[in-house]
Amino acid sequence: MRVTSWPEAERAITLLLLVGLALVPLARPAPYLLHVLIAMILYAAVGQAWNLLGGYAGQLSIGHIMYFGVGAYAAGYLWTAFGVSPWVGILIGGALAAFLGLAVSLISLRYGLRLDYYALFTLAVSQILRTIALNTEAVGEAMGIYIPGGSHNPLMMQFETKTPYYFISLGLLAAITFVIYAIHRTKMGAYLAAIRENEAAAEASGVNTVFYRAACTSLSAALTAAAGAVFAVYTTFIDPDLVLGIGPNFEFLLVAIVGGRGTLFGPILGAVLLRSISETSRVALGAAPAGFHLMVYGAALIAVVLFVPQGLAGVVRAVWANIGRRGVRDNPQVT
Amino acid sequence: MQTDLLTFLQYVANGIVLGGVYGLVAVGLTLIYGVLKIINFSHGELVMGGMYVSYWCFVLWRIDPYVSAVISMTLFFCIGAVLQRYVVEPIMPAPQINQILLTIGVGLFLTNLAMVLFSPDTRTIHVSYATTTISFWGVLVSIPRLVSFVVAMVLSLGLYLFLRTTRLGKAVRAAAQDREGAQLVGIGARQVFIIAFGIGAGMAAVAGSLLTPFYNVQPTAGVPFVLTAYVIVVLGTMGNFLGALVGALLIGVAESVGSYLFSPALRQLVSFSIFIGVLLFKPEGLFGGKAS
Amino acid sequence: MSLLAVEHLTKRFGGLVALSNVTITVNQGEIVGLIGPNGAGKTTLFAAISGFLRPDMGSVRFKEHDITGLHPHRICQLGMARTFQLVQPFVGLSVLENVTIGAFNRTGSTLAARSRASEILEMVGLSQRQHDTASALTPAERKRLEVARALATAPDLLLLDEVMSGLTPAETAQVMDLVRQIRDRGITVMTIEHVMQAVMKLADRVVVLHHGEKIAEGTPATIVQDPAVIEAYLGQGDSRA
Repeated sequence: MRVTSWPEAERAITLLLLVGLALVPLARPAPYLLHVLIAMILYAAVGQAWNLLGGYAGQLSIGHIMYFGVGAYAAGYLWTAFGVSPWVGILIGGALAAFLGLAVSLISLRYGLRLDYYALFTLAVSQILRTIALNTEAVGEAMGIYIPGGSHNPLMMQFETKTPYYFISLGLLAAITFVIYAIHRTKMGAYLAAIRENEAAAEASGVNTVFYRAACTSLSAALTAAAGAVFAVYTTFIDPDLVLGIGPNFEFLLVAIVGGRGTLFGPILGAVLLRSISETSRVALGAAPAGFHLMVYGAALIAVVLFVPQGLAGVVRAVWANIGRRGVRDNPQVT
Repeated sequence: MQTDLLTFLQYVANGIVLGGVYGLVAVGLTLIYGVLKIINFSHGELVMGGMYVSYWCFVLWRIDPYVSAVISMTLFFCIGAVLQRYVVEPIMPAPQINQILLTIGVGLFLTNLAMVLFSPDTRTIHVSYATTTISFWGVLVSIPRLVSFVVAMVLSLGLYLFLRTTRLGKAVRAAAQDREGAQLVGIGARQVFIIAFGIGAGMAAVAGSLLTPFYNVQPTAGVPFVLTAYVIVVLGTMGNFLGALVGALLIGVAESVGSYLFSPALRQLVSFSIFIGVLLFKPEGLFGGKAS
Repeated sequence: MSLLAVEHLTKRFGGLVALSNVTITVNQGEIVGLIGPNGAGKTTLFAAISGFLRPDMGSVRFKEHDITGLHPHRICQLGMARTFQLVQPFVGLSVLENVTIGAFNRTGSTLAARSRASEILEMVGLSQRQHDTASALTPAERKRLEVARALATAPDLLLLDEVMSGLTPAETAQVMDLVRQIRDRGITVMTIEHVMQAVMKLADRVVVLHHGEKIAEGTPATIVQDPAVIEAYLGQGDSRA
């Protein structure tokens, strides 16, 4: 039995999952399956971006979809109204979202919004944005934006098959995961963990909590927006409910929580599980009653919070610890 | 000029009437928060549940919503009690983030349970007196709304008296101040929590029933309620009964007047803006320090 | 050269005056004891000095900088560290991770921070526990962890808040030894304590607070005989002196 520490095991599992996902197209899956996987990967990407802020830094941003929506609308609008390439749209959307995240963070810090108030604040802001989108003619109000697709124009992120989108999404997921990986081994990662565990103690230890919280929020926001932009271009249609609604909002949250926040591969597992549930229920129950999978999600969330707060990743870790008969000898998980 | 003022007053009246029902929702929520110190994200779904109870009672057995309100109150009192005992109680010592996630999960589950059971279709009921109105110096108020308002106010008053005068009520208030305080009155903290959640849920369900005559019944009806209810509760100071009522009336009127001055679509924007304003500038609410 | 100069520090909470016109200087290399009956304002003073509270009046100068009203992390970066009366560990993290966070105050390198943390843990005697989660430590160990984390920030001035409360005599002696080691490393120490014997043996100078005011200052020997001090403690029913 190789003598590994949990961080090494975590790294290996994450790599395995990403490589595994990269190899899937070799099996020439049906377009429908590819579609399901792309959605799953994008959800994992957002969950992972949320994980940086909510898992590692411990900030309960439950209105996180606002950043997703900003990215989606930015890319969609710039493309349809000005012909700006979605590749650029990703950057612009990311920048806008980063700015929004900075504002949210600084406002909540300036006014001392803690925990539940901060959570409500983010939720309120996200729904304000949704209402604004619903009432803004330029972005199609309730009709949303229809983004033409299907032609072949790589510079404009237009492809005729799904496979390129698959790799773009996977690339994004890998990039976000790598960002988290890179951060959590450095000073910033340690400082975010400190903020998560005990903000007063962090300040007393020299951590500039305002700076690090704001930086983390902005970064997480930008990454979320990137996923939103890719989502918009791939699905070719966005509207306020799709990219700013409460339903998808909680789904992103669940991906990270059920999968295991504060871990490298948690959100990936979470997305796999949750999307499998929704697809299975869709298939098994024929035309499944709308909302069935969400009902299961709700039950899953309750179960996780009550019985397995560390999520799926926690379960994996427990199994791993048992296999090697390892206790808490190694560096304990930062969760 | 006369008609403009009249129209404006019309909206104010509508706002007050709606605010009364909001008050019932908010009072339940502030009670739960005051005693249990948890944010109940499933509160809107409890309102929605009450709506469906009254809807089906009316459609199946022709029971008037004001009568079936009693049924929904009792039913959801029990549901609330069960939720507290088996789902919320284990999570109470855990970090707040877990509690928030738990109630989000409950809300998510209930919303979609309703969607599965009753389909996402919007339903309405038509009581015989749906379109009757009564006039107050030229301002027309629809009878169903007025009745709902009155019932909501009566129930709120009843709850207030219950909390102030009965032994159980005092235990609940004591628990809000200090978890151990309830024990002094001889009633275990666990029972007090169960009762508090049950009452909160029951009030929400009644509010739902009272809304059925003039509100669209759908599985997602609860979602806007949670946020509005929280705006009200924060505005009126978390845990403050009177504050919840005052806040509800204010928000009801603000939303109504907002939809008159701007557009109906923006009514939620009004309460959100107020919310943000309160969070930033007066997070302790209108009534300062907590008082149950 | 005074390392820390607190002048006319006043702090009010609503109608309550927690600190009133407190003036204290701490010189390089000293161990200064801060004592006083319960509620005298000692922890409040620490909070005001280290940036957790903003004083209503007065100033705090540290190493010739005016640090009044600065954020705690900035003050820590300037070289002042503190411990909390009710220990505040990073509960979910390991002992090593706890101290490493403190060590990052002086470096950006994870390797450097970690090695410094190991060294500090060696010094406070927590090396065997370094991979254990902070939540698994005994109260006495948690206090040492708190001190270790503060030391890792490489302070010139260390504010210790009741690091000896609740310890057995053997543990107390160990902590006293540690404080002396800290001073030998060139770190100035100001310590709040109720364990009188310890303070009297350790401190070069003692400052006494009562009802938010400084009522006496001097060597342990003089303090013990100061009538105002005796009065303050007798009035509180505290017999250890």
